Amino acid sequence: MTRLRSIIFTLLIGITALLFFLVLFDSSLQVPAFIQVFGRMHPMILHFPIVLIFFSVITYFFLEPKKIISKELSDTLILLTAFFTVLTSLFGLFLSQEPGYEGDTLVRHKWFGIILSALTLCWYLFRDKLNANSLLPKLKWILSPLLVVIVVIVAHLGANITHGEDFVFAPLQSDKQKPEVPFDQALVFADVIQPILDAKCVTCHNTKKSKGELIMETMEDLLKGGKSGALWDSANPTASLLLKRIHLPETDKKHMPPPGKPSLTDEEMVLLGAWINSGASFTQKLSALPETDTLRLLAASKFDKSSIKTYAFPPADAGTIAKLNNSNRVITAIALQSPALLVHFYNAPFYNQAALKELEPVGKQIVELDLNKMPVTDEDLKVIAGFTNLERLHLNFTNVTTSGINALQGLKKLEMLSLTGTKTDAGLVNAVAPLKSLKNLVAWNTGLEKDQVAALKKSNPGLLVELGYKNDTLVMQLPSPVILNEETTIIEPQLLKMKHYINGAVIRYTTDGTEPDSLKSKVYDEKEMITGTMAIKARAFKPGWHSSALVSQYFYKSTYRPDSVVLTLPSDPKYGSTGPKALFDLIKGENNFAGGQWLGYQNNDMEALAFFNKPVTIKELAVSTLSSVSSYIFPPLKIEVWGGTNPKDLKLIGTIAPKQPAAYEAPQVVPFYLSFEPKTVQCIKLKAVPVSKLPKWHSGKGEKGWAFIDEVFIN
Amino acid sequence: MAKEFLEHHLNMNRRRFLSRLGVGVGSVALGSLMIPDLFGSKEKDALVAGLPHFAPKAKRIIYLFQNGAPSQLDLFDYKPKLIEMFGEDLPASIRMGQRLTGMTANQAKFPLAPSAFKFDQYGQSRAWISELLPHTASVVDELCIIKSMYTEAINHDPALTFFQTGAQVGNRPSMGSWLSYGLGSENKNLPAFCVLLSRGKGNGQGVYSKLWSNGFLDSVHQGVQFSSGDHPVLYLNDPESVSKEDRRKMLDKLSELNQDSYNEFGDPEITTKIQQYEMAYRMQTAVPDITDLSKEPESIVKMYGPDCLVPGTFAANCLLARKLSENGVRFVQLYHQGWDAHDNLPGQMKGQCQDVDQASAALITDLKQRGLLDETLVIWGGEFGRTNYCQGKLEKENYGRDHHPRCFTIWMAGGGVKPGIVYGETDDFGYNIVKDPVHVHDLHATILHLMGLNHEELTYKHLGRRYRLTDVSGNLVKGIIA
Repeated sequence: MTRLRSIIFTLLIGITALLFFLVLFDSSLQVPAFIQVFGRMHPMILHFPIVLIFFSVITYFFLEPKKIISKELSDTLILLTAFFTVLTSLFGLFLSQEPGYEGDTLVRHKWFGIILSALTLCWYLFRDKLNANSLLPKLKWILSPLLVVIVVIVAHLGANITHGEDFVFAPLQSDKQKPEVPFDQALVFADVIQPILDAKCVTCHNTKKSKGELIMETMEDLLKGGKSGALWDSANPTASLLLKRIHLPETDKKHMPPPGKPSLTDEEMVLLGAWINSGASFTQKLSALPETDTLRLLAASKFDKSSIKTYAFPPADAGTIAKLNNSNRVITAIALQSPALLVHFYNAPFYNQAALKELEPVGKQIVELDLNKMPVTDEDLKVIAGFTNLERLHLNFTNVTTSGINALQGLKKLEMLSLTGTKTDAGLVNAVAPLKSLKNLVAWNTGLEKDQVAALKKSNPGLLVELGYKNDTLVMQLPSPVILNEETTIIEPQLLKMKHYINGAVIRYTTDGTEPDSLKSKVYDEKEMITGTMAIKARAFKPGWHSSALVSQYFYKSTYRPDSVVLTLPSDPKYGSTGPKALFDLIKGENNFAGGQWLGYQNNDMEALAFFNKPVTIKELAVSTLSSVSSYIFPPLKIEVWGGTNPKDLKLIGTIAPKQPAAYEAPQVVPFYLSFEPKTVQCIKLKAVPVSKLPKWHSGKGEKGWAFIDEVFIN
Repeated sequence: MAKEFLEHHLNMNRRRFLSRLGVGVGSVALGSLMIPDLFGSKEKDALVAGLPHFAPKAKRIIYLFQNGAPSQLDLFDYKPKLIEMFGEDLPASIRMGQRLTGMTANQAKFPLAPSAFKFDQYGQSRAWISELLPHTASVVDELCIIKSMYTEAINHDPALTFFQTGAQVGNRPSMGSWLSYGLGSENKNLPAFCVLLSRGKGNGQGVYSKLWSNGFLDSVHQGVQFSSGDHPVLYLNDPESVSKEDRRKMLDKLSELNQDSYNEFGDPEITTKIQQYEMAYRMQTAVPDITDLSKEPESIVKMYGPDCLVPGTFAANCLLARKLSENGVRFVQLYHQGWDAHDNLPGQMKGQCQDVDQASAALITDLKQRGLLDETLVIWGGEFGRTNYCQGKLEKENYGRDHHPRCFTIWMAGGGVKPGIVYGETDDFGYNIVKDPVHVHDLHATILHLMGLNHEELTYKHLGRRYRLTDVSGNLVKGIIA
């Protein structure tokens, strides 16, 4: 006997250590399958400690002192009690790791169980101490009820987990608790607002207490108001007494609920506010409110407790799914461990009815089917009709028609049907009517019109119909045509290349610097050759659109390039480019002034001399400049062209006075031309004067402006 | 004798004590077998299943990233108080000594700059929207506007990197890569993660390919950049005179060789390579069809704005994003540059808004009329906000704003977020958040949740520790989940 007790005691110590250790790391515990078996024995062995504790309490506290039973028997009983209590706790801990065991009750059950285990162990360890110090008679009436009470609590909590709360007394309770109201039937007042008032207001404002002469129990009481008047004012809801009181600072004496009472949460305050603002109706249905209504959105979450949908049907065979899966027909579970399947078809050329029919073995599991842009026919819909758990069906841009939709009437769970871009028509009103679970019908670009939606809403209240965006009558401006020629310096004749991204847009253009119009100007026909200096101005036109903004591009012919160039006045050291060469290197500067192509001038004029080895006869000169107003860069104030045989013998050929910008504008390259009677020269002088004072409207008014010059073309 | 007895007794006790202790320690050791994490002894890289942890609310994401940080104060966060206090110094009690960028830290004054634009309330939700975004205002009842975003970084690159990868330093996987890793691709003919770039007229900030990098994840999860022009995906077409059949044969042979070297070296990157060749082959048929926008009907063109046919514009990218998304691309990441308006903000904003407003709104409408909005999550916003005080010279119609990470506005729409709500609030100055702050990690956690993933369980072990998109933080923003 002693030996057996010793073994049991050793085991007891071991199990206790294990128990406390595992409790410590409860959250990261992973129970292997064979241990689960022990866990599941918890509901069976838990009966041992319950009975044993009662026995031991009687034997130890009441029978042993009177020597009715032997000490050895009593000790053995306590040892067994402790052993089974700890063991049960341990098994319970294993069981609690299985899915489905959570919540406050479980936590309480666990901790009371552990306390009980510790108590019984201590009881065994100190059983002689208690006796020896003759504490027993004094503590008898404290310890024995304590043990019994804890056992009862643990057992009760455990029973609650297994059988549900208040399992024992449920038959005695009157049916006070309201059944859960489904969202569709919920009333704003009765199911959203009243519960808030009941929880937070009615404790003081009831028929017995009626603080401030206000009762908030029924509709009549609420309408009557209290000592300070009506609770709300329909004419000016935001100034309502109730809202004022709940929004007062908490330190304010009149703030409701008063200090010490549970206060309203932010959400509750918003709900009350939204309800009063919407007219404080007592009969409004929650589901009748618009989808985006604040009240509805906030309240809806109360009725939709589980966001994770569960499905009753068994999972399909994994092997079958794997076999059916390919890159044109993708089958996936909607989530890990969910039996529900999602099927998506891709690549229209690979689609056929057989591909759909092959899905039949997993048909029951398909909850979503995406056939957008597949050549689905009405015949195919009969196959789909067999997928009875289907919730979402996408048939956009397929070949289905209204009569085909009739085949879907058996889909009792269909919530969403999209038919955008199909040949379905007004007959949809009848075809969809039997689909009572349908919540969302997408029918943009079909024959279904606005007027018929009303009829549809009558047969299927709550159905949202999306007809999409119609803009047939909208007139917009066409974007400008795009000139594709990248090379704007013409050495060899090249084809003018233009493009417009909108189908059917006509490009008209001029080459003489005039504005193109929609009637007389040339239509772009991909045949225009650019042979010389030319200003292309183009616009796009299309019926039903406003004509586009003007786009222009300058092309420069370069007949003569000087044999040498010198800058007689220096350019700014920061913008020196490649020096004098830059003016005739056929590489034109772009909108970016720091691009390295530009010669920049601020403190002095630009002056350059160009020399030809042999005399040339010129009649036209073009200077390309930059205008970048926000960077203080303006076209030059004046450009002078001089010509002659040598630098000492130059005559003014002509002057250009560039037009100056009058407001901020985007940076652009602006060319200036000078045409003149043919002159034979061997030397040309070019002079450009930067703007000396920036205009008043410019943020740098009065300061010196910059002139940026690159590329000069001589013809 | 008594002494010996006592000793014997003590010895016995010690022996018994030790033996019992042994049992106790043994039990603990037994218990530790059930706690695999205790000594880090077991791998727990569970998720490679490519399936959501729970039923997702959204299947796909289109992220319209507004790079450079648009000013929330000129678009969404209406602050009449600033009009009252035009030009007054930002009170120290509001600024609370928070750090500023080097661009304005040395300013003598921080004059409050109200928006030059008119605001009005729109839709059922009565949300405030500025006159710069008339089209966005027309779809406001589809939007969930979050006014209380905040971030940690104060300069563009770290902030952008933080937004895209959950860390300010580079080399971590991008959000799109995490989703590709967690959920796999829907359409095997297209990558799961695509990237589209566009540039507005305003002051721009760079975007770099590190933003769509797979980091330490398998390289199949890398974002694939679609460029504008004739070749949206570079090097996708067969070289001239190589036929489809030849290409197939070549790939088969190459795959055999790769398989051989995989058998020899066992480097998983080799199988990745095989997969990528196969993907590229399939993309050869899928991509030209999707990137051809010329077949879009005129009503769609008008809806997105005529720019949508001009390759490389934001509008064209929105339209392309819709096409990619409806063809099963999990994550389409757009970047639109040009929002960094340190000066001339009103002028720059006008241009930027013209570029993005119509197309952003059209994307929502277009997804809706295809029945795709409730399964596609659209997100619009920048990497941080802009200051309520002026950078540089303040005029009524001309001012600039510096970087402001302490509050900014983004919006989301579609898949699983509450439509028509405004979440979070900032103070009257638009400087600090006073209600429902949303950290970038919180946003990431919420985005993953909407896609059916638990952000704490989507992990990848690298260099001896498990990484998450949300690092070691992130709380679900329950208030915006429908």
